[in-house]
Amino acid sequence: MASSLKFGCMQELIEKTYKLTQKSLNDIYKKRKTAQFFQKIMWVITGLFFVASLLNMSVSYFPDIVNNIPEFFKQFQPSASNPYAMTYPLIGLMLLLYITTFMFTKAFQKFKIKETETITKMVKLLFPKVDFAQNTMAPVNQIVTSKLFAWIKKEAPIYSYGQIRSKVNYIEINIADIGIVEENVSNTFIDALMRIPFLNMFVILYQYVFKNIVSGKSADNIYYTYRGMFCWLQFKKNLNGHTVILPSNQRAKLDRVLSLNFKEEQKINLEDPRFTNQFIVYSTDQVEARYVLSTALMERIVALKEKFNQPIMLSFQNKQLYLAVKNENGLFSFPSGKLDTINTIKELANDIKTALEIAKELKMK
Amino acid sequence: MQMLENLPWYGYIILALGIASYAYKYFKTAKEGYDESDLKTAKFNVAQESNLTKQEEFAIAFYTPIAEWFGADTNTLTFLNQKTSNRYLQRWRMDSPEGYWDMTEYFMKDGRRWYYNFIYNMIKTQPEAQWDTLMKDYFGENDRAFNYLKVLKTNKALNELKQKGLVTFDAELDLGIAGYDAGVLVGQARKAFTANIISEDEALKVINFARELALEHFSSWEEFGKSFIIGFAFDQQHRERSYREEVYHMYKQVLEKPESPWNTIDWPQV
Repeated sequence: MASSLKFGCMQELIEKTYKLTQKSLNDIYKKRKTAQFFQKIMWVITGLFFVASLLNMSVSYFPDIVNNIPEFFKQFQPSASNPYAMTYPLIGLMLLLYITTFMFTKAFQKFKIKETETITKMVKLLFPKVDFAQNTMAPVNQIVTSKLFAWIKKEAPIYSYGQIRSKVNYIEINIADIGIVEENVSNTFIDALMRIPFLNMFVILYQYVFKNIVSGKSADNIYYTYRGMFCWLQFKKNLNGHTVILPSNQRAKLDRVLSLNFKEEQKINLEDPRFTNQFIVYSTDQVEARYVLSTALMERIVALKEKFNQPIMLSFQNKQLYLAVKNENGLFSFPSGKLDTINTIKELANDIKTALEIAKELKMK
Repeated sequence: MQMLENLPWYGYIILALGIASYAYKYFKTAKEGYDESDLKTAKFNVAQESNLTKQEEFAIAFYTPIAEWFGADTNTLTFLNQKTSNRYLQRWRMDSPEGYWDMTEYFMKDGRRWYYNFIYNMIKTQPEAQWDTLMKDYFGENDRAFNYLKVLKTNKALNELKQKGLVTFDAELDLGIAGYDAGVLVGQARKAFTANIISEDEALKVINFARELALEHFSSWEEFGKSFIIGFAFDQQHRERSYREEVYHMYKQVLEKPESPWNTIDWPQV
């Protein structure tokens, strides 16, 4: 009865929030479209500029190319009467690039400001009792200490899009929306390629130009190795080591081994098939891991994953619980596509509500 | 030089602009270089001999971020040496027993929290049009009060702390700045004792008062620390940014390092 009352109350709040922000959502959708349009144009011009520069450089190494190029491009060949023929298109592209970069920056700024304002309004309407701040410093210490991210280092680029703090029954919970660029295998490989002259031009063309042209994500969301929710809260069990629960997939396993950062960990084999089908557990102590992960808690973790409907990671250590829920769009940013439906607010409300109730959901004391 | 002689008229303008912009940048950068903060590593020095009780050691720890900036011990009543202590007390006009007690009584009774509490609540609850009148009614013609109003009104201190990651939420300002007053009382008592202005008993009485003040307002080092650093940022906006940056850097280490007194001494559970 009490929970249905609470649900009804939340539903009312969602509807009220939707009414008050519907116009802004529509506006954000348009602003995002404009920003993405200029983002694509800007990168297309950058691509053309790079290709033109590459061709310009190639001409001196492969003079035969000149004879085989289509007629249209021959007018850009330097000659005695027009020695700067190749330079003019490059200057033209530079000019175009300057204009589109300016337009993109302006459009992106407007989109982000509107998005930030609307998210603030929504969170305050949906959860009036929590503390909420945007553009805060990322909780680097907690992220590194959590040991959830295999490749993370304290100096890695970690960004925060906002943070919520709430106290329920003397338990303080923090929820942050973070983006991390880890120096993982793929990024290390790209870094190595970038050091090779000439080849690095093609890496730039793929990594920056091509990706930005084809991606449907907003410009700030393209390079993260992890984007999503990160929560931390205290519980009473005092642990000596750490126990980490990750999604059971090859990538998570490989990252854990290849990063060489967790040599002290062992894989923990548990009995609950529903749990082990979805999660893999690493811990510094077999006994402690089993002490933490009771059968009941494993069931609750499976249920929690279903509630979030996204991959989740958990870590227990030194009276602290850490939880990360992957979300490609981020918690305090809107997904791409049409936004003016009540589902946009329902999803935000569900994610925050579920996170705020983790202690209750997992029956943490 | 011949090349310069052949320049068109606009060439000289471009050249002059180039030289001016370089000179501006050079002197600006040089100045910033001079003001650059010296970010030291906290050492948490421990003297071999200490006759302080656990309660006194706990209260001495209130001043740790600034004591570490000076490089003082964490477990003694004395503070570095007489010369350094005297220099500090002279600046605050506390280098005589009268001067010391005047200032200490003020910090015990009112301190910076007297300003902060009134201005902060006024900004939160009263319309801006009335602030000037309310300020004059409460503080009279008090320049310090109006400077503090400016700091709180413009969120200068808050934004600085947010940028450094020392404060996350606006609501954290509700903690007040009693922690800073308690820290200042401890620091001044240690220095006055070291400079032979007050006796050991007198210094310990002041330190005990600071302890009571902190226990009355806070229930953890985290809360105390927030209040301390908010008070510091609020009170020290007139100082060079580099000094504040140095203390912020120390504060972070005091919060995080396991050997810090804030992590080795438990906050008493009342």
